[in-house]
Amino acid sequence: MANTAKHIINNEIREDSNAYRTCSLWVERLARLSAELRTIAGSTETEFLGIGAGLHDFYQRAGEISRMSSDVVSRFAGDEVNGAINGLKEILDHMCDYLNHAEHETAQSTGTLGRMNELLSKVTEPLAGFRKLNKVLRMLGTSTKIESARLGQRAAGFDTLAEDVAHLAVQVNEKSGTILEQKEELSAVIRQTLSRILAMEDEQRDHVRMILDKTRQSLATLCDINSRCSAVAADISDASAEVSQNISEVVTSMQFHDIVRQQIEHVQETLDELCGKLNEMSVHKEELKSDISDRIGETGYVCELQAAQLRHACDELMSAVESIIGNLQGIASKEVHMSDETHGMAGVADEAGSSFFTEMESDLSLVTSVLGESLETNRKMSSAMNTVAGTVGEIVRFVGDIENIGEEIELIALNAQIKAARTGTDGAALGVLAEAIQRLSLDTLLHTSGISETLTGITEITESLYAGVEKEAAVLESEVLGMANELGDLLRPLRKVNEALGALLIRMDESVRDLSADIGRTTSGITVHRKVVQVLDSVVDALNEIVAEAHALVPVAPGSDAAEKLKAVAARYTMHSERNIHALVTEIKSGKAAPAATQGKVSGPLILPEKAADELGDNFELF
Amino acid sequence: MGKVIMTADDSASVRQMVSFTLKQSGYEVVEAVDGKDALQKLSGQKVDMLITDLNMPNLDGIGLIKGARAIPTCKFIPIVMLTTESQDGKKQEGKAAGATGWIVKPFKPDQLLAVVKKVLG
Repeated sequence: MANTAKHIINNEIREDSNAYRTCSLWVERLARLSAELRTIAGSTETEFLGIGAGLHDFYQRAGEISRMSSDVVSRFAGDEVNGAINGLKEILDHMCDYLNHAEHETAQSTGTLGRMNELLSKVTEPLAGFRKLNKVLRMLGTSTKIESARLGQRAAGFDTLAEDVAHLAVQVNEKSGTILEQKEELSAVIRQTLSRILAMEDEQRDHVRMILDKTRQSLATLCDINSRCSAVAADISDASAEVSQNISEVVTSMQFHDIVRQQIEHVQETLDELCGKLNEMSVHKEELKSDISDRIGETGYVCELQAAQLRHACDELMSAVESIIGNLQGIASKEVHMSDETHGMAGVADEAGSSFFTEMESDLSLVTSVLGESLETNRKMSSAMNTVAGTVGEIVRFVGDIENIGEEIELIALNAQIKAARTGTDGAALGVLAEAIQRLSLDTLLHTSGISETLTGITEITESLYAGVEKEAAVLESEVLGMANELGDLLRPLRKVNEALGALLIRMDESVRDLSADIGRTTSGITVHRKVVQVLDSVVDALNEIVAEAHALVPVAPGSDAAEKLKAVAARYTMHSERNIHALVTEIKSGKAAPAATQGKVSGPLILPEKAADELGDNFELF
Repeated sequence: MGKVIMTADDSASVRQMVSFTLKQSGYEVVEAVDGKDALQKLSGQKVDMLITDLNMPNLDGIGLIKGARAIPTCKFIPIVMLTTESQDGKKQEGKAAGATGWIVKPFKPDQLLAVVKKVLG
């Protein structure tokens, strides 16, 4: 049936001069299309080479950013920071112990000072006794003088005794006054100076404690960062692997320039060959008259095949360029992500942008400085205690003087009693006075021993407090100096890490920004595919027009021998995709496949038919 | 010093991608624009491996393999074809000429490096 139809068409076509004219027009059109394909096939090389050169540069820079990022992470997780973390933990514990100890000491000192004040208030009573003693002495001196004057020559020597008593009264008055002054001074020292120093120490300790709490929080953050390092390192490693994958995809896609070029060249060569055959038809019109319908049918068939090949080439090029753009943008976004992760980990992505380490270093320097001040306060405390001890010593001396006065009074009283006894009955009143004077000496001794006892207590407390403060000062000085040195040793590597991190992060920021900008410029500048696709689309449209014209002239399908006739076309193919398309179109023409098949993905993943895929990929074969 | 690998391909962008891939892994790369250029360079310098395209102007990949095998220093070096050609007939032709292996384009960088490592030992 088909053969009969073909025979009828052949007879009609042979006589149709329009058919020959159409063939001759096809020659011109196919030659023009071939020229367009030849031009476009080689035109993409320069732009692809530019992208390739950019890729090399991006790869190097992405690698450098990954190295910087890893460097930041490894510095955080490194021995220096780990050592500093452990050292800081120890020193913070040490400082807390120190603060607790100092707090305890201050509480003790405050209690001691309270006891000293209590003891000092006890001195007031004996001192009042001295004032009373002074009055009585003066009164007894006056009475002795009066009695001595009354007795006249019989009481010779009592005048002198009376003067001595008066003189001693003055001395007791003076000494007790001085003791009172000294006692008030001592109370003032205890109340004002020492209390102020203790309050200052409290304040300093609160300050240090506050800083230490903050430092402890910073340290916890550092520990957290440190423990997150391995996760961030894994993230960076993943991101680097993804970047490598992006690069790999770009390298693969870049080769489609060459693949598509060859596909276009194969189409162009086929069109040239078809041109030659059609041209031969026009030149040897009479000799080839019997082949005219076959040639028209073949032209339609070949053009349809080539349109399918070009559509496929077009799809491959578009897909490759989209992959190149997508993967390059992927590199930029992964580098930005890597940089953000690293910044977040380093703790410098805060609003102030200040470095974590700088703040910690500044806090710890402040602690050292406050501890230094505390040491100074301790020295003041020690000096104040020295003053207290000195004042107590002075008081003791004055109390000793009063004791001596008491003894002198006793001697005077004894002397007066002897003289009164010699005077006989007339001297009885003087004897009474002498007894009164003697009782005063006993009172004096009683008062002085009371004050002495109190002063001994104060002295003991003062000496113990002073010794404690002195000892504490020496220990604290060495402790604070030790901590300051230790902090210095810990801060030096942290400072080094901080400086290195700061410089690295700045470099990383700049590198990521520059890389992203360059990748953006490169991807937005890729236009080669649009030009190629535009040309290929127009060629495909022109080929489809020829296909339609050929079908109008010879509407019968080429039949099952079509594949045989197109062996020369098939021999030109080098790629599986080309052969797949050829086979599919041939099957459609021979009625073995549905026409819609060519509209879909013709190529799909290429599977080598005979060789099994191994670990080196299904497109490799080792001989 | 890294091993020297020659890439012969008339497509500059393919040479660029092969060169990029190999250099990242520390290989030295010599580029040749076609078979003739490759043979001239092979006569002048020792290479450890040759990766060549099949269809090239002046001298194709098969001609290049035959020529290379005639050069004493290239007699036993691995020669891998890197081409869009996937027909078994062509592969047999390449094998007969002295090719060590055959990669159909496009290659993946990791795959090319694995092949290079495998054939270079």
